[in-house]
Amino acid sequence: MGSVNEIPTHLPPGVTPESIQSHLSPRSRSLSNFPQDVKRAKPNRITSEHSLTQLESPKKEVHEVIEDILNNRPLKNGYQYYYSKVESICKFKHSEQSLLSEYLKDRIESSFYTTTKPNIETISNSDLMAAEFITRFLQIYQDWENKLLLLRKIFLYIDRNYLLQHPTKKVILELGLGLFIDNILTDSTELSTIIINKYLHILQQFIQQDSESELIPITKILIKLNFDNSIKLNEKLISSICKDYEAFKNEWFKNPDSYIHLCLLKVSKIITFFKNCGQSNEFLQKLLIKLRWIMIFQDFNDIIQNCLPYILKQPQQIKTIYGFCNNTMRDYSLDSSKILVFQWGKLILDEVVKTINGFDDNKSNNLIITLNSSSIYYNSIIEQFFENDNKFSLEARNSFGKALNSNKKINNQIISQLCKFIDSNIKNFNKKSSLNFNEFLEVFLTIFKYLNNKNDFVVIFKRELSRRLLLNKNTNIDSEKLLVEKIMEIIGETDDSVGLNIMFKDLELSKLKYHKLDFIKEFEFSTLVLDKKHWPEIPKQQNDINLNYFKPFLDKFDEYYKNSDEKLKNHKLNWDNYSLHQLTIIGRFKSGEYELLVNLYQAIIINLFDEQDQWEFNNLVQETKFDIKFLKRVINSLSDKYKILIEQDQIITFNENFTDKSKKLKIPMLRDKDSNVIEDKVIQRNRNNEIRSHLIKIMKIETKLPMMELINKLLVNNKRGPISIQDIKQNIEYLITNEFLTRDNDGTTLIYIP
Amino acid sequence: MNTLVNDFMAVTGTNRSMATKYLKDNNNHLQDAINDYLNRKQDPKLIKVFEKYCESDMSTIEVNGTMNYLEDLGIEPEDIRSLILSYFLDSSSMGVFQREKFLNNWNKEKINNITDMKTFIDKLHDQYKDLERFQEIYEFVFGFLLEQPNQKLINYEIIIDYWKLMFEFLELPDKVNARISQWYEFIESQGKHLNRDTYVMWYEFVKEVIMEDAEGLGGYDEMSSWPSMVDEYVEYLAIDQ
Repeated sequence: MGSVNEIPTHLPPGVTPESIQSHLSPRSRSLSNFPQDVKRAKPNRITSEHSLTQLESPKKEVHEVIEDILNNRPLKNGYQYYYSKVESICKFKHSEQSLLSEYLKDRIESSFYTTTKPNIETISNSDLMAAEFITRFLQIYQDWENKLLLLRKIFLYIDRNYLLQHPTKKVILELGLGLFIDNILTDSTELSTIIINKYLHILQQFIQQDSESELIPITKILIKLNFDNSIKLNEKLISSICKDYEAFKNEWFKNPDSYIHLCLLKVSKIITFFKNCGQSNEFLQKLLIKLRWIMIFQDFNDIIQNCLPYILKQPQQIKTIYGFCNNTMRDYSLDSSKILVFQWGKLILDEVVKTINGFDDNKSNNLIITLNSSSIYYNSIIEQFFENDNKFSLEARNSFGKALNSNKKINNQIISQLCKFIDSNIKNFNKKSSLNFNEFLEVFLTIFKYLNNKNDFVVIFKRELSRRLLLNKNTNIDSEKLLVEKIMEIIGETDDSVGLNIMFKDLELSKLKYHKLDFIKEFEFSTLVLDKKHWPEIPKQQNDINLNYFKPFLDKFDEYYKNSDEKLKNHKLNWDNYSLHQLTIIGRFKSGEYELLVNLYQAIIINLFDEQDQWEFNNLVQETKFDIKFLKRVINSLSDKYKILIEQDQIITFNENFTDKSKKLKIPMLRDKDSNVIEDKVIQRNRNNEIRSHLIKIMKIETKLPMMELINKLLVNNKRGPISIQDIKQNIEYLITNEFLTRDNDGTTLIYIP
Repeated sequence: MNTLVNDFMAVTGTNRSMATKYLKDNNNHLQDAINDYLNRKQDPKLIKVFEKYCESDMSTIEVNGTMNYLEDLGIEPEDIRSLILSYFLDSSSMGVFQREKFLNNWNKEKINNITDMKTFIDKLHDQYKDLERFQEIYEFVFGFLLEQPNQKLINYEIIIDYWKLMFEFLELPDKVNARISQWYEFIESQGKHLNRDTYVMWYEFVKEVIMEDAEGLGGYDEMSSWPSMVDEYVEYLAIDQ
């Protein structure tokens, strides 16, 4: 082996195998000139005895050097010396050239079969570790290649001028490496199987552990020797690598948070490795597509479902995956981007539902703002990573819609949170810390647009709006109007939405016409006349109660109102909405005078105590004709926080000793428990009508349909608020009872009755 | 004239010439013509039985007459036989029998006296003990219980009384009866009146689900087309157990 290293010292300065080669090339020149000259000269050449003997000694030396090289012995002379010997032999006679090349071939073959191949067989049959085996294999191969290279240097003349031109004979390197490939590496030979398997084994370790250095040389060599694919190296590599990745995949997938990252890293690593080792682009491309399939797209649905939450935080990764998806149609003839879109939607749906369910009214500021932020967040992802792909924004919107509409509880929560959001913002636009109106509107509209049952929202919104308009002093009417305008723009004109505008009109008109009326001199009297149809329903009516002191004034107004316009003549005024009453009366107690802010009914009761200081409960009922329960509530409100009255054993006494720090007291009445129920009933009624009309629409078209199919059809096409099967069934039964539909004899099919 | 002829044909099921003849004989008085036709065709003995109980206008037996009639037949008003009789005579509402229907239906069976009627009803009573066969009577009862022309719902308390009468008559297995009495409890707890659909489908439910597997209700499918009351009933049972 030592002699191999010494070779360069034998080289005369300026003469390298390459320079000789380049001197002779380009090949075309040697093809066109040189051989033809030789051929033409051949028949006329005369060989003398002398020259024949002269040939013997160079031949002997050349034969000797072949043995030296093949046995790794040091050479006796420099390369140029042997080169010129070879040249002179060849030039002497053409047949010598052929003889010498035949001899050389014979020696190379014999050396291969007696030394190199047995060496390989020895290590193959021993049970060396793969790494050690590969090192030894490399040594044997290098030794063989070095010998061939050295022989080529010395026999360069023959190699280039004779063998290269010859139609059937191989050049030295081709011959020697060919022997190696054919006998050792060619596919399906016993040796090849052992060697390649050991190599692939190390490759597997490399994939797992990233220890590449020792792999580069052998890989390079294998790639080089596979020039005509007799090893079938590429196929073996791809199938083996794919198998390895397949095996590691499950292991890596145990950590979905890092899985995609690891995959991209590992795949890029192996591709880079083969690129560095000189693999063709074609191979790299093929391997890349295969690996991507195995690692990512084979079980894309499963993988992306688990990994998406993590990679959304990794811009590079999500961008890459998105890019890959767009190529899946080309690479695998299937469109994985659909799956990505689907999972993206699912992720949003889950996250939004989680946000809503985890929402704690007391801790967080407002659910609507939180939801708006996530909407903005998802849009920013679409913009940054998905190239503003429409499919993704559509799906995101869908998911928000689904999250906010599919479940009654969530749907109600969103509606009430929207109302709260409006309530807490609409008064505060002037404060620095809060949103300005446009910001507010944007947030509101973002979430509002997702609601399917916008009309249900309007019902609740109306209640809140009326409360703000009627009871709050610092209501921002302009903002409220603008907001209503926007809502109307979106939902169009419906019974409920039109009512919103009428509410404002009623208020304006009342302010104009019925403010501080001068025909009542006893006190300041202002009235709001509100259209019952459009304002939220009022509490249960108090029939024929005795208005006592206040009756003349109310009657006076009644008359004034009806006479003010011919159209109003048949209108009926109703004073029952006590939550809107605002009366300021003066209460005189021992500790002084107090301004009491009460409603009409409270005032009636207090007024009764002007006549006598003590009333029995039953007498009060008789006097006022109040409903008993209601009377109890009125008295409670006057004897609970502010003890103006004292109630004991059905006897109610005026509390002369009443005192309070403040001289101006607002005495509220507890809200009726079922006041919210009214809106719920309105919503339910609206919804039932919707369901019924929808059912009839379907049945008109179908005429005959199994009940379950009808329910399914309705559920599929449901663009409104959430509905349950029970809701639908009850409405179907309503339609059966009222003879719009009938059951067929089988009991399961419904028939439309025209 | 033409309307009278058509009316006559509709009631009696005769042809045009017959109708014209009878109307002519009775001076174009429809009711007389019809009675004339029926009397001539019907067995006089049977007519006598009818006229013993009927009102003075000779067209119907009303509640009082029915009470006497039942008494003569030896049937208590609470007896299932009274329902079977009502079904057989196609009574439009409780305690009312129309002349035509009374005469036609008895005539078809060639029965013209109280004793034979009694025997016949007893025979029907035994035949209808079958769950499948009884369904026609069951479905008849809902219409029979309606009192107003546009009435759609019936008070659940009344229906439960009738259910009790009918299901006891059917002598179903104990396990089935246990389920049925849970149904009564459920209906009472709901306090909602019932429509025909729920009423009819409940019988189907007894037949298809409860009779098959009274304990597990294995045949019940939430996604099937049972009325919502039945769904809620099954839910009620699940919570209850």
